[in-house]
Amino acid sequence: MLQIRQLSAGYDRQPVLSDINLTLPPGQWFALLGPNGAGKTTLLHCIAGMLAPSGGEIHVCGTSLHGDPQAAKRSLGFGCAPERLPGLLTGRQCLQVHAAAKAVPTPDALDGPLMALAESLQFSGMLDRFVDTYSTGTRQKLAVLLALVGEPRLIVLDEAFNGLDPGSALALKRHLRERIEGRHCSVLLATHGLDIVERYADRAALLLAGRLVHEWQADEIAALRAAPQGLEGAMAKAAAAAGGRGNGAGGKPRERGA
Amino acid sequence: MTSAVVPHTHSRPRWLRRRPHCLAAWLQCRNAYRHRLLPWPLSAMVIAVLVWAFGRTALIAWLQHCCAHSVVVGLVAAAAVAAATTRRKAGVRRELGQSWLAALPSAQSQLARVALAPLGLVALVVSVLIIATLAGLPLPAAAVILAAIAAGAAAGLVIGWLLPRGSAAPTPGSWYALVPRSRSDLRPTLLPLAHWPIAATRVWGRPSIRARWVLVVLLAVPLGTPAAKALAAAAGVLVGWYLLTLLVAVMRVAFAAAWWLAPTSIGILRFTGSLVYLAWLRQLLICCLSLAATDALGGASVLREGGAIAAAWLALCCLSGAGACGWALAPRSIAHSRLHRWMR
Repeated sequence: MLQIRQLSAGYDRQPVLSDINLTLPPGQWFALLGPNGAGKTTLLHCIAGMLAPSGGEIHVCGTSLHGDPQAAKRSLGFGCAPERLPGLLTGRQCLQVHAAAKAVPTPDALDGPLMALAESLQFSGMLDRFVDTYSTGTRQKLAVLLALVGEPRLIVLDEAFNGLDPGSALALKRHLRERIEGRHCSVLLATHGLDIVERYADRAALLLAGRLVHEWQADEIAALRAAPQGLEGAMAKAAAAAGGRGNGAGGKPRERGA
Repeated sequence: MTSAVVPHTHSRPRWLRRRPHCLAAWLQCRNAYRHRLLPWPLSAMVIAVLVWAFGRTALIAWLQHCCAHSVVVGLVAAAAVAAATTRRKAGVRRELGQSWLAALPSAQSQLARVALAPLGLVALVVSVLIIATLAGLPLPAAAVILAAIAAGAAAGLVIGWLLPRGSAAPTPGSWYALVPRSRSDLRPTLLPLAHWPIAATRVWGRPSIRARWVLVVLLAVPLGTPAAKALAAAAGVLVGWYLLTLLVAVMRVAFAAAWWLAPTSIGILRFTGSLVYLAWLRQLLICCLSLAATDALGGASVLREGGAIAAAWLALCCLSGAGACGWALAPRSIAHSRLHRWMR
């Protein structure tokens, strides 16, 4: 589903990611962990084709993101940052734009499972309101729904549970799990929520200062669930073994907004 | 929820559906005209100004003058479009990494997206020429100007595309206010608030922006005008631009600062005083310097008129600044106010 080979990337000659190798087969939930500024969002931006890597290769569903970006992006659903959503469009119009870009017939895209999810997220009442009237959590719900338009085979989400109420977060986790099991798609989630990793993820990796320093398989995660210190302790150990917390040294420079 | 309530995007042309940026822009534009009040009076005002302007024979004569110097018009169009293309190129590059549509498959090439801005400029000129033709500009003259602008725009697009790319990093925001401060004094102070509008004015009055206004003024000066008068006009525009942006900056900063200072114990008087006083002192200083320069050039009668205008302007600044601060900090409106969101 996703293959990354020797990926390196950065901003304005400042390297952020180096030598990232990752393979994500179909039907897996992969959690990307790491401290602030470790490069999680940068990695997701590379996978979504929003940032050109300085080296390495990314293949989405067997298609090179560099060679045929349109075909690769058709298999991809990316949850954008909620603050980037356009205030002057309604939620429904945002969904229509995504459906049109992915060449999905609108009734198919905005019906069935996606609308059922919108209903369970208590979002359907907000569909015809302008995005600039949405709260932070509601924007987050729309960003997630946009990522799911058109049955993407690879769903890439960045901190998708931030701002969601517990009920909506649970509904979304169950929906993603059902998608993974029923439709053999894969989910790549960057998160700080260790409970999500322990309960839902099939694999997890720790990103420190732009490098993947440790990876946990499904059986290791299951064992950590029962351990007294859980994933938190395992992460601390992995970070110590990798030589420090990697507190953002390799991270993205602070954006200077206009 | 059933599909019955979902409008079909298939009713829109296929080329628009395959270009999400265009589709989103079209929908936003349509929403703005359907659901917001502001675009209608603004559009009406622009049309009224154009109709009024083209009713004046001087403007038609000026356009005929442009027709006689079509090479210069073409060169100016090429320079403007080249500059717009270079800027748009950096903007598209920035959008690529930040837009909510960046991860979507799109049939629109980067060149097509870059070309949209200059094409918009040409479309604006075409509509102005149509109005001018209706107002009495001879059709051959309009055709010559249009041809010169189209040729210039095409050349400018190529030049702008081939020029090295500008930085993709956005311009530093107007909220980066540098405040002079003594190292020994560590007490908290509201001084940054006073420097905020000054910093905003500095950002809005960057040389690249001021140069455009000066260019427009110098192009509007009739041939044969003495150089001293032309320079005085340009200087006047620069001073006017600074004073106006400082006034707008105070109001805008009032709303932006109120958003995060409202939950504190700061009172309206302290808030207003801290935010307005430095900007007002600057306005006073600039007005005094302008009056002194006017006195040196024009004499006592000009000074009297200028003095009255300066006094009225300073009073307006004082009132509008205080009014904006009071309105911005009023507790009733902050959380749901569209004005707050817009002004921020």
